[in-house]
Amino acid sequence: MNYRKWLINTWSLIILLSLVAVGINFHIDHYAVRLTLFSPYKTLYPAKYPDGINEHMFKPEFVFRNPGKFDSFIFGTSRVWVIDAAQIDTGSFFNMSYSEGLPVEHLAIVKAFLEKDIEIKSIVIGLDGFCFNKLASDHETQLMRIMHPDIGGPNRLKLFGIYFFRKPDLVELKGWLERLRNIRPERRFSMDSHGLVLRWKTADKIIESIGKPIFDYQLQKYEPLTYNRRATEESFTAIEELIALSAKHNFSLVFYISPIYYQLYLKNAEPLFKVKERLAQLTDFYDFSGFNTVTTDALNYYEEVHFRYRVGDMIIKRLFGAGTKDLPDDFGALVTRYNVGGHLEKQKLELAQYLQTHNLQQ
Amino acid sequence: MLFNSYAFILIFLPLVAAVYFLLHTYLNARWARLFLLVASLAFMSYWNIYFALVLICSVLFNYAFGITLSTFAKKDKSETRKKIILAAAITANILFLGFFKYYNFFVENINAAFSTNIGALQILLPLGISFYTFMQIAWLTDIYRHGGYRYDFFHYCLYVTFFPYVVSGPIPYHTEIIPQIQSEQAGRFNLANLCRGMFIFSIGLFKKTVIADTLAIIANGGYDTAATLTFIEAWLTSLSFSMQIYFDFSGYTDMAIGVALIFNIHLPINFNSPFKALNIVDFWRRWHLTLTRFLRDYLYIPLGGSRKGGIRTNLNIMVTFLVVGFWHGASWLFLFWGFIHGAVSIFYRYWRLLGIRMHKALAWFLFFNFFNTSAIFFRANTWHDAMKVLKGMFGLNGILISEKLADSPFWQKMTSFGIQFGGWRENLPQVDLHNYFLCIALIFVVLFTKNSNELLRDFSPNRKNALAVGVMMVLGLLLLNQASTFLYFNF
Repeated sequence: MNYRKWLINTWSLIILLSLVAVGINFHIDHYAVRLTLFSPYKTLYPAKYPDGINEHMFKPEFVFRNPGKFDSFIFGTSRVWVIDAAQIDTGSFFNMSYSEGLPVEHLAIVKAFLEKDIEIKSIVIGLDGFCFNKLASDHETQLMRIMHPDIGGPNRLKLFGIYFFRKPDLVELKGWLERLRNIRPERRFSMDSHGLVLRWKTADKIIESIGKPIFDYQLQKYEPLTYNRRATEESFTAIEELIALSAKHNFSLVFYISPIYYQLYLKNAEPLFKVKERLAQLTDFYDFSGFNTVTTDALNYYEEVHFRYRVGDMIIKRLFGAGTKDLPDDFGALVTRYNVGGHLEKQKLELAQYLQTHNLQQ
Repeated sequence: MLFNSYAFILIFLPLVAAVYFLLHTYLNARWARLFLLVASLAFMSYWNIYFALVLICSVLFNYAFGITLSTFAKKDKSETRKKIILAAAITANILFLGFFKYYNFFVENINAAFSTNIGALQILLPLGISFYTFMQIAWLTDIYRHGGYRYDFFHYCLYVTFFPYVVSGPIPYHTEIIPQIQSEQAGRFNLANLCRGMFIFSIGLFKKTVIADTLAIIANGGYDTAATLTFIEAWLTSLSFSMQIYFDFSGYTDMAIGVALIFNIHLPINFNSPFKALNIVDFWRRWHLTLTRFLRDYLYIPLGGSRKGGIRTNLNIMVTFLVVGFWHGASWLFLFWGFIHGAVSIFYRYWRLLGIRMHKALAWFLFFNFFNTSAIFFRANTWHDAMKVLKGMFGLNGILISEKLADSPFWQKMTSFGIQFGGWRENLPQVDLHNYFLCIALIFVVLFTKNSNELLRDFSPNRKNALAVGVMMVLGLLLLNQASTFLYFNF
């Protein structure tokens, strides 16, 4: 074989193999990026996609493709997935939550909505430990969390390369085969038209039928977390800017701290005290965390992180003041700069008592 | 710009090569070389324009020193004057390198030792400074020793800044590169060199993106993230790094050789199967060859080499290895790494005098384990991290093996020696099972297969290597999205 022929053969092979890889990834579209960015359809229906699609891209694009349909948005981490936006009647709400959603990302999305002349009446933001311990830059390399190209993410060409010009992944291939053969349909991503993620519906039925928790999580040792300082600063800067934006564009902005399962709360309590103290100086917020009737009952959770749809409904009631008489009194305290001191004193005392009675000292 | 990036492979390299050969064909060699010089500076500026400015400063003052020295040598002036100029030039280079690379290290240590509060500098280490400083010291010393070597300014600039090696070596001598740059052949497009260059580039890309970057996950997790490491975890961590550094750096070198070959420039080899080495002397004749020969020719031999008695030889060996260590980075850990290599070299010197012959397999085993253990000090960011890995390797944090082996009578008996069943990879990053053992499988690969220089030497175009290049190139390209920088960029 002469050099010219060798070069032609080699480059033909390189191009052919590359096209095969791109074709496989494009067809499988594990993170629903083809559907989100490269599909011509006006509406996005992700039912055939696996659980764990990139919602950082999918949900904003869903709103972009449905202009005028929504004027209010609920942001947050995956804990916020279960909040049924359709129940809220003070606006056309859409649940924008996505895995590890951070305030700085919410801010970018809100800015993009305003730039695209999407009217905003209300915004609700659910906060938890992730928001003050993770950096948005960490998401830049996570295929499940890379941001939408119109909201600070890489451009479409680069995204095409990132998602499709890569080695086909065996796990993704397996997931694709399962989807083809309709195995484990419960592992598919599904969402209602208001952004409510339906992944926990099966688990919900199981808990209802057996009447007891489906997980067992006990903290072995009391080791309070220290939140990443840079991440905390990044989030507070974003929160301040969101507050300024709400004043400038005249939309309501409500923050709340999620009802963290008490066993997980033990690790987060101390850094959260600092967060709450600082947050109260900026804005009023609802605090659903701490030891209360909901967080201390494992029946309210699918596992130690995610609370149930019924807890989401309770949060809506507390935030929007409808049906509050059905709610436990200790679930969701309105914290202001005036009562934050007393509120935190009470929570610190409850923590100390719990640690003492359960012999969980550091 | 990284070699392992789409920007370099798909845009920069084809564009620069095409324009270079077109200029050579339709204008003249001088324009083509000038373009290559501009492209090389653009390559450096892509990271940071300040890196290119530092490089230009270094080239300018060295060229001025070189021309002065060459003038004095030509006019047959006194040896003392030549010596003074050379000493001034070398001092200027060392100060230049020292300012960027070692200033903060010295300040930190002075502050710690004398409780002073001298401020550290907020400066980036210019890429490639350790490499191009050595290249230019070699040129200046050669002028002093032999006279001549008075090169055209553009040729000299291109020699120092040529983008395939300016960032991370090899460290070619001016005598190897400038005659090639000046030759007529350099500007003529050569299909055979393009194919050969592509062949070795694809091997390098594969080594880097498929092998080294996979090993890096375990090595980084073990060294930087894990709080403690058990026996197996510590060995997997240290072996993964030993293999990572080899595949990373030799991968970079292969790519550099391949890229230079496309421009008809043959670079010196830098690796010659170092893990086949049976002793430390053998190893340094195979590992980072261009650094070793520079230190031999311009430090060890001028210090007296082995010609001035036993004690002086030992001292010269130790000085050379301390310089090797310190060249790699401004830290006590690198110095210690250099020290132990120096100490073992001295020990080996006496061992050879005893005339005892060791079985090859045992010699390989002992040396490989020495290298693997010494590499801990090379990789660890702190003494604490180094001790963490060492403790684990000596079983001081327990020996855990998979619970799946709990039914085996043999392993049950082993529990009496302190082996326990449990999470044997709990403190390492979660990766596919086979990736943990990649470092062990690679030992056999590096021992029993040809290295890239041998493969390049034997290269002839055929279907088998077209397929191999196609697959390696595609895998390399598909993995570029997770691209990381080369380890030797830090040095």
